[in-house]
Order: sequence, then structure tokens, then C-alpha cells
Amino acid sequence: MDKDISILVADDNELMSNLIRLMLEKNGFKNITEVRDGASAFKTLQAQKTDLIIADWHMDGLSGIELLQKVRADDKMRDTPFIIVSVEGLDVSIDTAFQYGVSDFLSKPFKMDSLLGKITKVMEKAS
Amino acid sequence: MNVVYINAFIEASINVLKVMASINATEGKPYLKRDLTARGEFSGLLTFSGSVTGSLALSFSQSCISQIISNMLGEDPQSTSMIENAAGELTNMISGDARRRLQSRNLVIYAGIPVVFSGKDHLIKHVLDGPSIVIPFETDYGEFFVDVNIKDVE
Repeated sequence: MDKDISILVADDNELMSNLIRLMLEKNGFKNITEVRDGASAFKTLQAQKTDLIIADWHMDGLSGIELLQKVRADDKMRDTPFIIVSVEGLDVSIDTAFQYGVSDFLSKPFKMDSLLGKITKVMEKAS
Repeated sequence: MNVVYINAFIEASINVLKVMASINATEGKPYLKRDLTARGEFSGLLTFSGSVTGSLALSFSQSCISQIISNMLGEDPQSTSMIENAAGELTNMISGDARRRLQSRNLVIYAGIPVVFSGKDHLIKHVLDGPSIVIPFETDYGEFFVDVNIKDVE
């Protein structure tokens, strides 16, 4: 898989954001941008080409789900692979995310292999 | 409190620490807590709605949560705010894991965003009156505690 893809990680929790970055870097991904809220994530997406979005569901202001909706409504970024990583593992929550067009959903806690598996799957589907 | 909830919190706590930090945790005997004092130095507290109402706190000794962070990130925590951050997120994850387990029993429980508290003998004020149930856990790096006060919504 292409490890030069640009990845945006949006999570208002510093621990999780750092952990996801660490997991990605350990697996050769280097082009990673981290933001702490949904609004900053959308600004970043407007400003730079992004190949993959990994976002937490719950963020202050613009949530991950709301960010997903904005991305899917935007002509330029609507097809960007989008993974939600969340403590929300209830069926109703996961169904909601897929209804809004999420590419895949990863429940916390998760192992690195699970995250990488989701990334591989969504990027293969997108290519 | 129904033993189903206690088991879900026990299994969730053990699973989250194992998966995220490769730390084995062993539960102790649950007991009633009639005061407001947290049993650890860093706590996350969140509220529940849906099939239950009430609140859940996860309270960590500093040594325990510092090791969790160190195992997750490969480095010691750089600041108190990072530790507080971690307490909140671990509370979130254990709550989420427990709620997923309870879903199989047709219990749909939603959780709010955790608030964090820190300091020796800080207080945890649950949403419901009355004693809470504490489930103590031991790890090789120190203790942590589930501190929960919930009731079924009829």
C-alpha cells in the first residue's frame, strides 16, 4: 500500500491523537496532519489535498459526524476515504455513521493491526 | 445494582487496559462507598442516559495511569494535563466498551463527555444520591477504581 498518502487525524484528545500518529508512523506513513477539532479539520481539508481522514466522533464544535457530512457534501472532497474512530460502538451509532457515508468505523479500544486493516480496506476500495 | 452491570464494567476495564496498554488488571471485591472522595489521584466522570441513569467515574493512581500512558505512547507523560487527558479518554473507552457489552442484553446506554478531576482526595459527586459501588483493580503499576452509581430507567 502507498505509504506516501496524506492523512488527516482529527481528535480533540491529545493521547489518542498521539497514539494514532505513532501507530501510523510505525508503519511507514509520514505525511500526517493532526488537528484538535472538526472546524480545523475542515479548514485543513479545504487548504490541502488529503487522501484519508481519520476522525473521532465526539469533538467540541463540529463533531466527527458533522465533519463527515460536510466532507460528503463538498464536490472536491466528497470521495475522500473517511474512518471514524470512536468509543461509540452501539449498533445505532454505527448505523448512523454509515448512513452519513463513513467509509469504515473503528471502535475503541483498538489494536494497531485493526487500525491498519481498516486503512488498507478503505484505501483499496477507493483506488 | 444488577450484577450484569458490574460484570460489564469489570470486563470492559480489563479489556481496555489490555488492548490499549498491554497491562493486566485484576479486579478486587466490589464495595459500597458512602463518601465523595475519589480513590485515585486522577479521575474521569461521565453521565449515562437511556436504559440507565446515573454516572461512572474511573479513578487512577498516578503510578498506574502514568504507566498506561507510557505503554501507549512509548514515553512517560510530559505533563499533568496529559495525564488528565488520559483519565478522561480511558473513562470514555471503558464506558464505551461496557455499553457495547450491555447492548447484547437490549440495554441501550448513552454516555456524556467525561470531565476530569485530579489531586489527592479530590471529590467525585455522582448524579444520583446515595452510595456508589467501587470496583477496585490491581495492576503491576498501581491501582485504579471503577466508581459507579446508576439505576435502571423504567
